[in-house]
Amino acid sequence: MAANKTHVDSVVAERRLRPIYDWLDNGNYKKAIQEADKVLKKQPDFLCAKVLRALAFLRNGKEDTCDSILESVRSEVPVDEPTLQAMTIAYREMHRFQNICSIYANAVQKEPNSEDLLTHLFMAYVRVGDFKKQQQTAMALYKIRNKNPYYFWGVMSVVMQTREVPENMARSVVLPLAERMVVKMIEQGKVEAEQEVQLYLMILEMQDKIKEALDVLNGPLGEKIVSNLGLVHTKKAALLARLDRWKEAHMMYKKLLREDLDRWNYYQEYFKTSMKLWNKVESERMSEAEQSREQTDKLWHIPDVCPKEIAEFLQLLADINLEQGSKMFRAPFLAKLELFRIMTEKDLNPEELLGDVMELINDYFVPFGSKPCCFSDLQIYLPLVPSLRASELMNKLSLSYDLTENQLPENKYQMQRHINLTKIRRSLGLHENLSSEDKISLVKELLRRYDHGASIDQVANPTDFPIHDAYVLIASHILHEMSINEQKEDKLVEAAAILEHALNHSPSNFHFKLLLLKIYSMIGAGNAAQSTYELLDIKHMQLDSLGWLHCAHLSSTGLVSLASAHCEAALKFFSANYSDQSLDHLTYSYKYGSFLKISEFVEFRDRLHNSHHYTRCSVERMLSELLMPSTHEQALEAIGRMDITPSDDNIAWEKLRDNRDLDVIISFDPKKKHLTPEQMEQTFLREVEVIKLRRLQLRCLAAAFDLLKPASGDANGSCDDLLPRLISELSVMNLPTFPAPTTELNYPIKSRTDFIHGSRHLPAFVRALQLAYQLSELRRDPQGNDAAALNSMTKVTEEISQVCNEAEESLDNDHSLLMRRSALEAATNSFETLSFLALLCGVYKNLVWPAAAGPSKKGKKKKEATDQPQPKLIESLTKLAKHLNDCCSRLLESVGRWEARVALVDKLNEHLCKWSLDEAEESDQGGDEQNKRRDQMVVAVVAKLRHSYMTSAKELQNLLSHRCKHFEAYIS
Amino acid sequence: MTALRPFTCNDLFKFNNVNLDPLTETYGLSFYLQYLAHWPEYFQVAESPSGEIMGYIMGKAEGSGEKWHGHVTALTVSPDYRRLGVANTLMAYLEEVSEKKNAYFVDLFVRVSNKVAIKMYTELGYIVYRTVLEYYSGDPDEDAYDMRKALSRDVNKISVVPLRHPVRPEDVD
Repeated sequence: MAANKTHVDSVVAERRLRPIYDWLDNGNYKKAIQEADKVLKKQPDFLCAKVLRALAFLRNGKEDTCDSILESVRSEVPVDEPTLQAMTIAYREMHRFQNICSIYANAVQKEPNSEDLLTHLFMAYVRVGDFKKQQQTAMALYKIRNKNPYYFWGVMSVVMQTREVPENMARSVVLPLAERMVVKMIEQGKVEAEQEVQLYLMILEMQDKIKEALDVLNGPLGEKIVSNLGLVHTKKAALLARLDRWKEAHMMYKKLLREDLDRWNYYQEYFKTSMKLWNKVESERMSEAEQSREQTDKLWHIPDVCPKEIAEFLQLLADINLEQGSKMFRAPFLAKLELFRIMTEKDLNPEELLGDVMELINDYFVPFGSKPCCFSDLQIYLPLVPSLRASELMNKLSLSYDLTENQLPENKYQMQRHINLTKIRRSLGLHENLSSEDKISLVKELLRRYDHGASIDQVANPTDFPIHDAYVLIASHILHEMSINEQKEDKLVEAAAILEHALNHSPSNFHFKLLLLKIYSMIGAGNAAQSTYELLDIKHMQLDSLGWLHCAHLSSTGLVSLASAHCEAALKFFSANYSDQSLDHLTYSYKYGSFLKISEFVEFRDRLHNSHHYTRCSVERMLSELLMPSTHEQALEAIGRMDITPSDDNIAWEKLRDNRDLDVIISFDPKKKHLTPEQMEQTFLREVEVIKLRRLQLRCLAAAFDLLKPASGDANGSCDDLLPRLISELSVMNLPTFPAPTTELNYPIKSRTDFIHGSRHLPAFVRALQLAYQLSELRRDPQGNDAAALNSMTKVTEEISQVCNEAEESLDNDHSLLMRRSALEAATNSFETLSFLALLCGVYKNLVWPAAAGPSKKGKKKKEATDQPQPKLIESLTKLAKHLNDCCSRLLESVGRWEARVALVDKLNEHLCKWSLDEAEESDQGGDEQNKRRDQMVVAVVAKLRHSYMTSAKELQNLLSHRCKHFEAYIS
Repeated sequence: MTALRPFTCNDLFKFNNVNLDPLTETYGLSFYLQYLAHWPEYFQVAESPSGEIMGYIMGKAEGSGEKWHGHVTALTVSPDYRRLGVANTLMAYLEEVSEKKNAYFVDLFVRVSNKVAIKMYTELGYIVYRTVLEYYSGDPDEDAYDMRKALSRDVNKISVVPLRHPVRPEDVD
């Protein structure tokens, strides 16, 4: 037998295989095949060589050849490690994880006592998530080798089966089985590792056997849990809470707080458990030991069952904290504010117990006002301050700032304190109601402080952001907000200018980059946005969580191929992580007994796979691929490559997940202005609908191309009315309105795809699709009436004229930067619609005159079957193509005019190049210098914008002239 | 003031305010997942009261015999939460886990140019055990300090007797 032979002289075998492996590793697959051929000549039944040859074919793009070789090897049931490993690699690369199971299952049948083979088989089942088979294999392993891990693999495999059965089944059958399995081991005294105990706890908790779980923790098994610090305590407390034994849980947290005054999560649990005791235990508690509250130490040993007692306990903590002197912790201060917040929420009159909230804030601010964390600590408590008292609070806090309002700080601490005051002021809403003039003088003041800050923050850590960066951040937030509220785009340019300038001095500051990216996207400067995006070095996971910042906006500015490349990068991340590597950690979890992580991993995998950004990228990528062809043959090829089944929607829309990080841009705005969960949901739902629309467009195009396929059998019979069905789906699509824009910095801005629905683009597209269908009907019945088709042609002509007119108008009349973005969007969308129509022209032509179909398609036979083409239709189609060509060249000219205008320093530029903030500035010596510098910054940004617009214009012109040529092919 | 909790997969969607800092590397997904699968107790997040990720630590336990030790693979704190002792809290946690695991010492690698980090580790009781030549690839390659701190099991502090000569990365075990 071949397998045995390789076993016998494995050393020789390995020497022979080495060169093949090397070529494979080096990526030279042809050489690898040659080398394998050489080996197989000498030893024709060398299975591993065959598999490596197959792998080389696979990597060389010949999956079919690879497949048939693997099939033949599989039938010989190899059992040797190298062959099976090589097959595993090949199947992994083909994403056929089931086959890996079957080769190992076969091998195990041959050698049922091989620990190695069984282990591989187990892991193969883990990859495909076959929990029952996992269980069987694990138990088989345990039978031949009495090792604990194998047994617990089996137990975990049983637990995983709960995912596949109804809840009541899980509880009545599956989990009790898992529990019995563990109990058996416990009874035999065989439980060894802490992971095994954790798994047992998990099983008990899943059955709500909380009491039992608690007993385990308190018993000898609990002692095995050592590596998760504090886990036993927090776990115990959590279990007590689940048992409604709030008092015990509460006491545990009090104890924990005694050990660590500064652990915020203990406070949170302390509050939570205490609130459960309110009212409930009161009577019981009263009798317990009211008198003992007198002695301070007793405060540790009795539960706090009402706000008053909490306040007393917090005061105890605060007193201890004060004794620490300069090493004071922040948590005891904030805990009082937290109690204030909780009582306010419950309408409980917190002032009576805790005094004025402003005092509490001030108590914290005095010692910690110079810390960088001050604002983020206080942020959630600032809404407790009534808006009428906001200024009063500011006055109070300013008392601890030993400088007057206009004095510049002398050291970092003073500066940080001033920055925190400014952030608090903003968060209290005190910037909102300023007049435009006041806002501008505030910005100027902040910039003055920024400039000055550089002189006292020179010794900053090179790895930290300079403290005074915050001034630029706040100033640009104000400018951003003004630009939206007052539609003043010069404010955006100025914000960009100061951000670019500050970024030069603080190149790591990603807050600057994020804001710049947003501003450039808002004004349609795709190229400038791209260069900022590159500075952020977004990769891997961030492609999903932050992709929304950039991906959707690139193509809005005509940078179609760049946008497509972005989608591609994201797609690579998603598919790589769903297929191959993403399974290793699952097998790892079994190997190392991290059972608690397994469910988490499975959920995470789903979340990633169902990312709406993933779907968006795959749809947009395919649509952008369809913008590239400039002949019918290329179009056929592009559509063929995509392998779309138009009849199959293929996307689990209801499962799509929102993975966007919508907190990424830092904000100091009042809480009421932050993005609410409802707003996030709204924008998400809207995006999903837009993706649906785009996906439908894609399916319509694919269905139109399917009209060219020869009608044969039932499969096509059912497809006959597919296109009309999709068209009507498209026509009735009703998108939720785009939520009203806000000044919230993380608010997603619209992309060009948002404008397709409700515009002329869809009617033009729908008419053109209908025409394709009508022509296909005429092909089936050449005697049919062509009036409908001719009518559709007129309609398409009308609609597309409208589309292009609107785009031209937009291009000719963009007198502001925000309009400049709309102009680019209109041009890009029109280019897209024209491109889709160009694709359809190819479909029309080949429907009317099948003989002209591409050489790769049906040959001569079809020609005979068809009657003479109808001259009237052909004539009208030519006319249509000519019209489309005209539209396209008019648009091209219009983009050209736009470019010429943008290239010159036009009115807009001139207006923008002036630093409006300094208009009224009295010229003292320093001021002049600053003005000049600011002017230069603005000029630099305006130049950057201009360059970006030119790049977009160039790309659009290039695309449009290609499209013109495409149409020309249908004119002659 | 921190709240420590185990790092979970969902944190990967939310750690941007830490990872956008150019000095914090964003690794491929499998890197994080393998640490989570293998050493979940060594992968902890420090959270702010408002629920933001302030920083995190990733580590592992490895080596045999007297080389059984805890290792800090990555320690990072968001630029907005520096100088608050977050890193110290995370390091103390990792050391304590290593104590519980009966490790002899904790070690970590740091760029020789990263003065801030070296100072911090020194203050935490770490010493430069040896220099690893050209450990960080780049232009040019940069040396690393292998810094160590003995744990209570290493009674005679054998693990922290500095080596006199630098080693090559391939000789690091």
